[in-house]
Amino acid sequence: MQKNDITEMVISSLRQILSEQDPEFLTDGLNESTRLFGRGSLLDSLAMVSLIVDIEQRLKEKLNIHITIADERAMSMERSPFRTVESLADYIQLLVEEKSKDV
Amino acid sequence: MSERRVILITGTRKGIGRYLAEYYAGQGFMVEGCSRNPSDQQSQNYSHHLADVTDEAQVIEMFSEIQKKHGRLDIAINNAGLASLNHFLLTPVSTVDAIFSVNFRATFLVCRESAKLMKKHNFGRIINITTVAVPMLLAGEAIYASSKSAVETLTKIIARELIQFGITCNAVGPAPVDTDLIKGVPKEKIDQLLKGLPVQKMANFQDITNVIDFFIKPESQNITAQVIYLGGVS
Repeated sequence: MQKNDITEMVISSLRQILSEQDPEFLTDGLNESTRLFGRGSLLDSLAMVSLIVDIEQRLKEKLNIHITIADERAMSMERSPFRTVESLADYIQLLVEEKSKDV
Repeated sequence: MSERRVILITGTRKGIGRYLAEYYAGQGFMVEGCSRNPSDQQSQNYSHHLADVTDEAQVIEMFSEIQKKHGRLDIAINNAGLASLNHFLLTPVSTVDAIFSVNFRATFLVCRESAKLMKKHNFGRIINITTVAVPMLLAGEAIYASSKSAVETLTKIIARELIQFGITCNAVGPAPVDTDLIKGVPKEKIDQLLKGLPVQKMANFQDITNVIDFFIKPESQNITAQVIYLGGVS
């Protein structure tokens, strides 16, 4: 799976979660640098949980790959992978590549 | 919500699980059951999955099949369980691993995957099974009761985390029921246990479905993080 595809998946999922949070929210401006967590982010902690679960389910449904995104490594990284769309997409790509090697 | 609710019950090959599967299939629910061995249950409302619920990959695969078939899950009953009666000093650590694996680890896995499916429709009912051995602090049941204490704590905490998604999580703790789970327990021990209960009789399957029926009612949205014991203990 290419980085672009993963980024698109993250943005699509983010769009869905934000729409559920606020149907009036305009999601056109979402891109790689959109902040997910921390100061200036769009998501509260509960929405962040929903985003991660939704992405995991999309990967399972589309690629039949099961990964746990919020694993111990992600939680202990000096620079959190949950900062932006791009950092999350990078981390998911790493997990997907590792999973593919296992199979 | 559609008329035909989808219910997952673990450990449906025999005992309480089998009764629950037959009862809810008879009520018109779409029942998804599972066990490590094949089931001979015949009902057009019942489907069986061969799955070891302590195995994460097998649990995820089962939920993937439920998602593909129904696109939803309304109710999950974590019935699969193991019991052990032994003096603490004589208990092998392998028993601890086996009991906690089925009673706690499997419940955790099924709760987690159920909630992921349930949250899509902002509705869900999770029912876990505990035991009167927890409040009665029965000698000889240290490991079994401890594993069910863990299930009770899990139930109460995830109830708080899942209510935002419209999912309630409760537990029912039966008094002894005449199933394979207690077939190795001497009659004197059961009689002694029953004497410690305000209601001094064995529970039956209907006592259990009575409580579960209450938990799963759509009107029970405000009932969560609760443990109901049979037999009068609290």
